[in-house]
Amino acid sequence: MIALHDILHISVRQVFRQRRRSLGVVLAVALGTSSLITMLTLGDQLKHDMNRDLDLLGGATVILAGFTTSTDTTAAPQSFLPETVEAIRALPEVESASVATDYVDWLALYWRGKTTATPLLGVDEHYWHTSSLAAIKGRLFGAQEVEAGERVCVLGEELAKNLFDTEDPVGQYLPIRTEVFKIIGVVGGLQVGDRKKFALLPLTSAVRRSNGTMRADRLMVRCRAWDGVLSVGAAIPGIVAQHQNPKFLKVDIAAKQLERVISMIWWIQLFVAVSIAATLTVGGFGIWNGMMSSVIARTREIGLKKAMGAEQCDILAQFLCEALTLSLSAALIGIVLAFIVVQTAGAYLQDKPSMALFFLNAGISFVFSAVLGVATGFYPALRAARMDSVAAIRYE
Amino acid sequence: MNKKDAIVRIEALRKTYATTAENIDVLCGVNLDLHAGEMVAIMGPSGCGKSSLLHIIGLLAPPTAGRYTILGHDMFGLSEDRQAAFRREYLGFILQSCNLFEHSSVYENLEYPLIYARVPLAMRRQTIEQALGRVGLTHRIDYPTNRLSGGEQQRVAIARALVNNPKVLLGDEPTGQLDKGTSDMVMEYFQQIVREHDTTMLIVTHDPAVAKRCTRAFTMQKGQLVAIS
Repeated sequence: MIALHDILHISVRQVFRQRRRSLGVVLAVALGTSSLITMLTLGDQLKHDMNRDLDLLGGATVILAGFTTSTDTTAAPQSFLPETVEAIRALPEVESASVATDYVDWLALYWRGKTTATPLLGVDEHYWHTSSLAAIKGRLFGAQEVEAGERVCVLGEELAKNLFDTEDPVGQYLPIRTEVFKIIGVVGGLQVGDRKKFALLPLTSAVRRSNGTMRADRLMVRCRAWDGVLSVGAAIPGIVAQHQNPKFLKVDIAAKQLERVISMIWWIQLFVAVSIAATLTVGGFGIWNGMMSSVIARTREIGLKKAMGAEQCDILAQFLCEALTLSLSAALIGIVLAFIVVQTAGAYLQDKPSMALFFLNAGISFVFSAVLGVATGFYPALRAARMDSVAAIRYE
Repeated sequence: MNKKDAIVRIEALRKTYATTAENIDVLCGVNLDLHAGEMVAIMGPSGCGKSSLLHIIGLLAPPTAGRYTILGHDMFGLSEDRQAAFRREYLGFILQSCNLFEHSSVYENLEYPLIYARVPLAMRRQTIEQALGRVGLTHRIDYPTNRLSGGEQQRVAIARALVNNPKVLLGDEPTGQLDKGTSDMVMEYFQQIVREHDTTMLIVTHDPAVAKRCTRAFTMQKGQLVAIS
């Protein structure tokens, strides 16, 4: 067979000279390749973001667990032990887990001449992230304050407004039962819900000062993505059983919400995959069709080359290399397009996509395009190679 | 000239085209010796088999029966790749006009035979310049072929056939689409090449003027070669 550099040179030159004819095909394959790389690179990030957005709407990835002893009055009250919670937190699908009190103590708080109904809730330092709550004023209490059982509290935004109106509540002191708690922050935002009326105390402070009515018997687990919810939900009873008595444990999963989310995502993924496959198939057929047309249009050229002493493998290699040149140039354009899209999307999503993952996916797409080029170019190339020399020379 | 000098020797060559209706015998026991430094013309009406004979000699089509040697090498029973190797080494083709590659330069047209003959890249330009020098077109080496005149295009085709220094040149109506002036000029080049390089040339033509310029001329009649005196 002729030298590799000659085959490459001839093929690239030929494709370049016929670039107008091949432009549509190259663009189709390039779009398919760039979509493939983008989806593979940003898939996890998009999933995470979609997960977060869906959580804001319905909390599909949050699992609630608790000890419900109300049906058996003789049963000893139970709380989640720290080692149980740590074991659940260590699951790879778990993003965060928080312990809180189940019982909400409705306190008639007399303050500045008026009585305000104030529900009290004890939560640990992980509660904020697990519940997607953020401080709109001041700050939220952390691990040290929870561990020490400090007398600090965070108010819901509505409660803060009722008690302090336009005055800044942060730094003020609030009398709760017989003790005074320092207000360190106010929570609000989309996810706050009914908790806008709550006073949130460190878990230990609430439990110690509740005369046994408040216990750490409520667990909230946030999963990294919806596809981990079922497995985490199934694993919780076993983990609890390894560390404490699991009797009266109840695990709640937003099954219907989850099912709908999974179904919706499945359809989206299917639609995207079908679109990419369709684009690449159209591109592949384009290469095949373009190469077949090229073989017919260049029949006389093939005959002349055979008369000059070209072997079948020379002709086969040239046409195959032309198909490869088309598909690989499309892949290169696709990779550049994907790079731009990934960088732009990364900036929009405020996240830096993994370049290692991008280059891995670019490599996979490049190999895929090479396979596409060979698969679609082989038959036209074989047809050219096997063409009858005399008929080819006489072709008009 | 005696039998020993023959570059190409054909004995009892037959070619039959099988169709669904009948078998058509176009060559019925053709005998022909081609010697170094001679130019032989074959004439005859369309469909008489003269191009078939040229294609068989050029190893582009197989004969049905007979014997065919080039410089003593038996050409029958060779694989397609071996036939291609013989074409590269011994044969050069010149067809009617329009046989240059479109959208290519003169250099690129002449480079193909060298590529197939595995001539190193470093030697190609010089070899191509020499071949173009034989037809007086060295100055056109990087010129696009579609901007050449008809006569120049055919001279480039001649240079391309000569670039590998073949022993045998095969012309299938090489002046068929040229005007008389250009045709005479091309024939002069052929005569010069055959004379100076001891090349053997076989030309298939309809033109008696072309045949007159050849060393020998034959006409194809009923599948046999008949010498024209």
